Amino acid sequence: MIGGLIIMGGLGALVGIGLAVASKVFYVYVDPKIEAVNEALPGANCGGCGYPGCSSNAAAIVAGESSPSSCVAGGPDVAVEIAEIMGVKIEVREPDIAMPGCKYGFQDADVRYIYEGVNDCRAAMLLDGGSKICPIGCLGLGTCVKACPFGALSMGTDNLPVVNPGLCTGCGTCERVCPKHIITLSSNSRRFNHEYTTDECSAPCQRACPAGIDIPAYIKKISEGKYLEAVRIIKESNPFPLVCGRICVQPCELECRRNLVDEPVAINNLKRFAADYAMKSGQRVQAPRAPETGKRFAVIGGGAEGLTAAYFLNRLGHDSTVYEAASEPGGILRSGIPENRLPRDVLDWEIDDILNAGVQIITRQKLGKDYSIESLLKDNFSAVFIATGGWDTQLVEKDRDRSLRPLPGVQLLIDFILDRREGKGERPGENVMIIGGGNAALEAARTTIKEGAKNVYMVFRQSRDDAPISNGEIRRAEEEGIQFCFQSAVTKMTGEGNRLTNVELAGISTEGKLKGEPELKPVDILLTGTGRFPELIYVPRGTSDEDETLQEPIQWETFNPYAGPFAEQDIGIFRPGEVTSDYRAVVEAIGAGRRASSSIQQYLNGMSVEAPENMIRKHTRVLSLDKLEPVSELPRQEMPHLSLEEQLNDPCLEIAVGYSEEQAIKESKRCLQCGLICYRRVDEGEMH
Amino acid sequence: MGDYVLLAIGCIFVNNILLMQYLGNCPFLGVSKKMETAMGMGMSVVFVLVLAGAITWMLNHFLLKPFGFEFLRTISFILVIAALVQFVEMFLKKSIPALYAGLGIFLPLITTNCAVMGVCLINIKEDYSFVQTLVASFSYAAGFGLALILFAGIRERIILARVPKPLQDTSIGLVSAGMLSLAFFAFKGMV
Amino acid sequence: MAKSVVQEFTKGLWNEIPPFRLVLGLCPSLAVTKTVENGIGMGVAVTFVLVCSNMLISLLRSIIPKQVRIACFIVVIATFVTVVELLMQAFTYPLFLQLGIFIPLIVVNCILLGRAEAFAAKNGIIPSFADGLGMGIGYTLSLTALAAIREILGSGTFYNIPVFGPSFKPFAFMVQAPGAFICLGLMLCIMNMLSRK
Repeated sequence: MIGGLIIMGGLGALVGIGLAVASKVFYVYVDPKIEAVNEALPGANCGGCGYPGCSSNAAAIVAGESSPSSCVAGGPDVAVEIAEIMGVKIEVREPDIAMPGCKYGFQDADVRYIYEGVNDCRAAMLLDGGSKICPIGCLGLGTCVKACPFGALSMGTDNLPVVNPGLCTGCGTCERVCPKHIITLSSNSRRFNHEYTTDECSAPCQRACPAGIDIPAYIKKISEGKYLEAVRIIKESNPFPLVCGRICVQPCELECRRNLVDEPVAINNLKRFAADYAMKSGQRVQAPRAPETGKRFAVIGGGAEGLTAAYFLNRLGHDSTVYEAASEPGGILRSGIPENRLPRDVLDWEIDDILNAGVQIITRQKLGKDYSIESLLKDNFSAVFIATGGWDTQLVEKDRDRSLRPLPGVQLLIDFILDRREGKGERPGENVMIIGGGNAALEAARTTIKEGAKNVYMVFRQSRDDAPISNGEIRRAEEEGIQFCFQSAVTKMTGEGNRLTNVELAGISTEGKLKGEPELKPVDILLTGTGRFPELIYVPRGTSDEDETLQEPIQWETFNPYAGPFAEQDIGIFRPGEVTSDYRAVVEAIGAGRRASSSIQQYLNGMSVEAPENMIRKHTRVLSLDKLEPVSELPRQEMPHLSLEEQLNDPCLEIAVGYSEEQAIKESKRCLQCGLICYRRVDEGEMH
Repeated sequence: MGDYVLLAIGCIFVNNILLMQYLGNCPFLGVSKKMETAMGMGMSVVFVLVLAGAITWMLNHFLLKPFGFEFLRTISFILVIAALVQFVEMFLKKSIPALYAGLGIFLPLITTNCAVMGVCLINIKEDYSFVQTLVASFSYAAGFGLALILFAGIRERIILARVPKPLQDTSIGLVSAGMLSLAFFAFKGMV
Repeated sequence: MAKSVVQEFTKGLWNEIPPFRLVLGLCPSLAVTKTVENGIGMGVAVTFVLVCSNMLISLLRSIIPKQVRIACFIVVIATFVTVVELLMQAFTYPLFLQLGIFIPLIVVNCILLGRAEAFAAKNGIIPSFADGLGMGIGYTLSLTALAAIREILGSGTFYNIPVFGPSFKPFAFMVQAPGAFICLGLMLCIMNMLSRK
């Protein structure tokens, strides 16, 4: 008995002491917060936060890598609890919601074979990617429905999943379980920042739209008589439906599949009808807004591009302020388009819509005179977007003050040369960089050398042989000390205060891709051969999150918005073939504005600013059709116009009157509601 | 040498601890839903079982047996195993964090894994020598891992199948474990 | 109060009956249910340990530090298992031999630790007693039922008494390991079907 006690006691003591010693020797500090956070998390291990389980998310939250509100399953209560543990404020999280991405079920889609196997999409996927011809078609076996931990999904009668938005927590289980990644999480912000990719179903018209409007969706709403809904859909990509509905160049209609049968759907006239309906009924329709972030952004230029960027920044939950040099915003829309094509009251209504959404505007303020990039950054704007666009092709301004330097260290080459010819202008500084331009650029380079510049760089995107200067000239210039950088592009500028200090130069390959590591060159002045300033985003540099106050002088750097799908090249600030903000079409400027706001959002999220890799570009191959059947011919609704007499009586009256409701509904029913390769098969009898 | 090979084969296949000896079934059903977790659990069991086998053998032969306190075997074994698991956990956390990240969450589960305790008791019951104990422990653990991984493979497939509602989850798991066990029956009489 | 004690007791008999509803303690359920005798023996042994350990842990719950609670629970459980082991060795030696290593393995039966952690450590002694008794009896019933099916089909006997005539050919598969798995799986399925109604 006593022996037993001794043995057990001894063993217990030995083990106890051993473990105690071991726990000291092998002590690893574990933050008690991690445990506390872990307790607060629901423990569903759904993975919606992006971490493998609740405990790893807890560790990430405490390490500051994950947000206290990252738990989508727990919702706001859990977020508040965690924020208390962490002693931080929570940012309100914008709700995500699952969105099925396929529009046509099995009955209506083209299939290759009849699948009768295991009732699960993942199993069906193993058979050559499923039975639908479309590679991104929903397999319709409801794996997502079964997987949803919250019962928010059900299967519709058309074999496509239906989301119950009230129950969906946005955990993303369906997205992960779908073998085709068709059902995805979507939020308003995600839709604002969306580009069409090869992984999703999109109609040809949508892809052709420079602003990226979801055209089939809004036409569908019109056909259902929900005109305001239609406007809301349009406004998710384009805050100017009234303007665009009148003056858009309609690249979408060129791609309309109805072209294969008869005439394209009058997409733009329908847009105008819906927007007019909203205006006439006095209703201001807005795209939804993400929760307030408290960040402030400045947009310079109150034209279509600037207003669009400011609108979407506002919709993403930020504060945006537009600085406009003229007395009224609108830019070229106001001054360049005749009254009888775009009545002023229509434009004003549309701009009021944008201001009503919460965009601030400050007019009669000139960059470089009344304020500067530096003063804005000092004023705690998180970024400044330059959208002076086509209008600021300053050459059109007659009484232009060339001594103004709107952008620190950047000058138009033409201004530089004009100044010199008049014997004006300050000395350029030691390091000069000249981008583009032909012999004029060379002339400027020689002038700067004469004026004492030590390093003069000439940057060309082309190779030595393709450069717009002859080889002999190049050789002579090199002997004079001018340094040439061929196949290069400026990707970034950095500076402090009102001064440019460095320029980042990257090599580009003949395919237009980045080549090698970019290198940083000290540059005091950058002369650009183009006639206008590029779209640029200025952000403060070298401030950490804890230290909100900026050091004097303010350090800044630039980046440029990612290029849209139609850009020829997407590297560099001064990229050629960038049509987005030319005079060409207002819809292109609108697209560029939206992309700028999306780029700023990427920057805010700490991501690299670039278009999605699988974005559908000009030369991307997408599945398409070359014939439609059975689709019966239906004549396009004619746009009613004022008679010649009426036009002569009042030349300011708008010429195109707009569809009647009956016409609009008829026209909207012509839409085939195309998907990638699916479309609505309209029978002869349906329309009558 | 041949004896050891025979012993190993016997422990891995013929007397497979999961499917023939009915030991360690809780984790068998619990962590076999995914291949990765099954691998992690298998590895952890191999690791702990070999150590536990060695230590309990020593405890039995140097302490309990000489003093005639074999009735304290149960309590002293479980004490030692629990302490060992805790120790291994601390040691790995400090010294081999990478391995800890892989095995960590399975270690606490092992304390109540009856396979570990069971194998230690079997080793004593069969009166194995120290080397035999090591071989047997390792082989049993390997057999455990093998069955677990095979089973996880089956379960990953079952997810895709249309299983009647009442039969889902544990129920179909047990039935398929029965099939697997039936397959292992073929090894009977091999040794 | 009285009502809740009854509830704690009865929940183990149906609502949370192990090992069907609480999928815990599978190993002995599979291993020792070859005969009804073994099943009942095992069930009673577990019930005894469960009741005793639940009560003791419930008593000690306020003085056991949180960090080492698992170790303490295990020691308490192991003590009672040793008691059972010695008692069985003394009074029911044949059964002791039959059950073999599964008696010491009661220590690692998840039901015991599970109830200690989930119930006894949070509740008073009387509810813990009721919980332990209910769970124990429920477990015994489950084992007996499972054992009955396996014994009747596998050996043609019930509690060692032949139930079929001499012409009956035992369905030997049922007393082997695969039969145990499949039988338990199907019983679980039947339980699910019953409770869905």
